[in-house]
Amino acid sequence: MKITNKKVSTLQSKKQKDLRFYCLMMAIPILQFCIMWVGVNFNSIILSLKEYDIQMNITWTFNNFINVVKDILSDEYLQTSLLNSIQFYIINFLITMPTSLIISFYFYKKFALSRPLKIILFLPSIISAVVAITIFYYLADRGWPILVEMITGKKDAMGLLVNAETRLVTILVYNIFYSMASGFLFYSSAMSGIDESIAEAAQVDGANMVQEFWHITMPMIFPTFKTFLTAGVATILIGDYGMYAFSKISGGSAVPTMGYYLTSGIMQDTTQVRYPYFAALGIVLSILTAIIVFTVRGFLNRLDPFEDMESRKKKGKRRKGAALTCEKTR
Amino acid sequence: MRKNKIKTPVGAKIICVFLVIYASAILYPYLLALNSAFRDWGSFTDNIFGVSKWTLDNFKQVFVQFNYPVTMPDGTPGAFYFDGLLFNSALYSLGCAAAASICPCIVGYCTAKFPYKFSRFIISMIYVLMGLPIVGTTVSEIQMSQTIGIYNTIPGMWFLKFGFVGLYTLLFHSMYKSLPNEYVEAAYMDGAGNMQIFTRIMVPMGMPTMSVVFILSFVNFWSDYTTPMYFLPSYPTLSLSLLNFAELSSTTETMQMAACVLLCIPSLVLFACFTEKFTENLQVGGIKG
Repeated sequence: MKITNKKVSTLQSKKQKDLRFYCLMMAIPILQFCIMWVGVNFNSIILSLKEYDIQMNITWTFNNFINVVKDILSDEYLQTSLLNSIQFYIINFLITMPTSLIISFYFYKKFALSRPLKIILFLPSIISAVVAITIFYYLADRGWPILVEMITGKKDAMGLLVNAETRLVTILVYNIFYSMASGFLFYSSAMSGIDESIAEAAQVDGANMVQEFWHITMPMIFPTFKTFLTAGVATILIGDYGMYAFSKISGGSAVPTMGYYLTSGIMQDTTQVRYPYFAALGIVLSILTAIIVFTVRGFLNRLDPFEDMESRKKKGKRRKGAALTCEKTR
Repeated sequence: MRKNKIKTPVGAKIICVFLVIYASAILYPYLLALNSAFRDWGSFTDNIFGVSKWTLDNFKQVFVQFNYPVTMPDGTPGAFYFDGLLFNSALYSLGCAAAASICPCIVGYCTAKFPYKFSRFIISMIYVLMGLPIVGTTVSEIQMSQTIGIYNTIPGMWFLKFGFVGLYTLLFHSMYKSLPNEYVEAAYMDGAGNMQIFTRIMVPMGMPTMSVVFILSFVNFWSDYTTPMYFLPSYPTLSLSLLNFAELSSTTETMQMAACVLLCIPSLVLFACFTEKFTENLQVGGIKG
């Protein structure tokens, strides 16, 4: 009886020690979460209901939301920023998504020069965007006129960024050029998880590369594709596309996007008088983004070949893995 | 014995040509920038695509002239030169990368090895929160950081990045979950406490994952200019100051290229040392250890 009691007390003591350790270790992460996630989002809602005057006196009001809706409907600059963000996202997506998939498939099949090409294509992901934009700016604004002169003999060619007519396309090309390289990593990682015997069986049955890609690889990596797409579409309304950096480096040559609108607005507002407006704008954009994201997710769920399969538990694991590979984009 | 060679399809050959062109187009601007960084200003203005004798003058100039004027927390005007900016960058990136790897490691371990209801709640919550597209909270974050006193301090930024809502926590969680409990039990039988088990057994076992997370985070924070721009007005980093470098009247393009080269060095060195970790280790089941 004594031994049993001792065992029980040892177990209880271990449980208590475990709980103490658990509380100690989790305390700071939970505190950080309460302040920097719960607190920030709660404050964002509170802030959006405030209005500051010049003396920073507070008035509680819904005016910020009314102003945001009014501006979205009538402010030309805000509308242009919003439309540019959507336009950039769609064009970027339509070009980079298929290209990334094809490049990934190429690496997955380990065709010629896969390894060195993979390393070079990975470079834009590790080199700072500020550096890439600085170099691109010189090529587009300083290099382009020289190149035109060398080829055509014309001496009055303008830089691609300084010229308002070519600015938008140039920045779009920059974004496509660099995002094409970033997408391949997620997809090729997902493809490397496909059981080789499936592809081999298809090849034995006479499937060519296109058929293998379309009927085996694509369905197998669909969870990754879905996660990547859903994560990307969340930036549709607030994408910056390096615009703020472009404007700083080039001294004003920027095409307004929502990311640029918010960043430049916040940076200029040193008195914080307009912070409530930006908080309200953030909430409105979050609601709009949520609608878009959940619509896209619902649509993709219908296309998901795994959705109707019995192995839903396994799918959970795949999704998690797919989500993990997506971390690279950030 | 001759090996049977699989014939490369025509489509793959076409893609190969495209990829070689694309890779060259990616490399060319970086090589041009590297070349420009070592050229003297006179020959650069004659032909920016040309090649001339290399000199270290631009780098010397960067060390002397590269500066970022700031207002210090006590209100006095000041400026950070290259060494100060480098110090800020190192402190910010290393600290934030450590915070961004340690916190997910702790939460991942606790939720995996202590199956309380709260642990399950935390993991489910991470999945839910990651799916919520919340945007535009920067102003609120700035206000909150000012309220709690972490605004405009580099250690404050470490706290800002000490978060667990993200993929890395799930990564650590699944990694620790897959480790057998026998290790913990054996150590406990030998008299080790929970802290010893965590620091002496579990952290070393999770070190391969931790190192990948740390390196990836470091590269991200080293290149990040938005957080210092919003939260560290008195402690600019190299990345942020490069944005404003063009505005300095004494700056030449070759100096800017030299600054770009200097900013890239840490990321490139890490990339060169851990190429495998960067390009191969992210797998569907998580990062391979």
